[in-house]
Amino acid sequence: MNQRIDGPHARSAVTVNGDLHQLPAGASLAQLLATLGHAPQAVATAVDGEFVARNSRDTFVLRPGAKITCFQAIVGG
Amino acid sequence: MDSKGDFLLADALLSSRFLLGTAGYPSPQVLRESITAAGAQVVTLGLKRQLAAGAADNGFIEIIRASGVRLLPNTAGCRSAREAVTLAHMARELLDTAWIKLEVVGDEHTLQPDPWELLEAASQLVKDGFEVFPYCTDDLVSAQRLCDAGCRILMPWGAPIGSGQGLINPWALRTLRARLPDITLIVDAGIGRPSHATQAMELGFDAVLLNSAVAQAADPVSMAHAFRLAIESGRLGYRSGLLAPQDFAAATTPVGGRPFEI
Repeated sequence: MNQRIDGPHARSAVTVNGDLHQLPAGASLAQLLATLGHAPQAVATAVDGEFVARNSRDTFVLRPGAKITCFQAIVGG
Repeated sequence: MDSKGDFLLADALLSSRFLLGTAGYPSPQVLRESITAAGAQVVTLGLKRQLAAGAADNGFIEIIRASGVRLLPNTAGCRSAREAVTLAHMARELLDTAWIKLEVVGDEHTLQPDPWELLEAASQLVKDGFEVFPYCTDDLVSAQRLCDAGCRILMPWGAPIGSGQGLINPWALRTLRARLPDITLIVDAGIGRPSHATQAMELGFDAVLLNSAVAQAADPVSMAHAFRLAIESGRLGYRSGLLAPQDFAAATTPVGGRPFEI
């Protein structure tokens, strides 16, 4: 379990495609993607298994422990 | 009679009845040439978790986008309706298409579709405005339920994915065609040889979707061309009226009996 730290330097831990990431508390999904270097159009996103549309990322605040998955197009049959 | 005809797939008027998968080609260039040789106007894609920003795919996706063909993303790898619905929404956003090849695997050995999860996902996605192409088995009642849920297109397997066995149950496929005359039927999976594709088209199927038989050929570009011809040939044969098999001989040369007996 992550220990919550209140105040301006509070951080929250989330996972992105299974890897642990520390974010400022209250960070949005759009901020996370920018931190990771993903262009907004380059990936599709889900949080805790639910699709989050591109135009909702700015207002989608990540809770501590959120599981984010980013997908891209690949070849397929 | 035109061997190609006009093929209405969902709301797209196509001339090609050959849908091509894009996985497993030795290079992007071979894929591009194979799409051209196939005459394909629809190709399938997948989605995968991205591992790193800007992770390279060696140019395959750029080649596919540049080819100008319609994209049919799939939900490969999904084991539940929930997963498939989520992935379909991601695909629609990423690729700007409402078409989705719906795959929900129910058995790890055969990769057989799960009919219950498939139906649940299809029902939801139709409500969400998708054009759902469900990859299903050849079971008639399952197929009817998918149609009841709003699917206009069905893609029953010929055989398990990548097995190359051809049409292992032609009777079931023939029954689907007979019982679902207004549904677009596409044989998907199991096609190993051009003759398998011809057989599917001769059964009255509207199109064929395949990947491995082309991608894994020694010469994928030539094999794509071979399948193109096979599909066109099968369709032309079907439209021309196939001779019904019978259990007795029927002389073809009109000699009128034995040549020296009057």
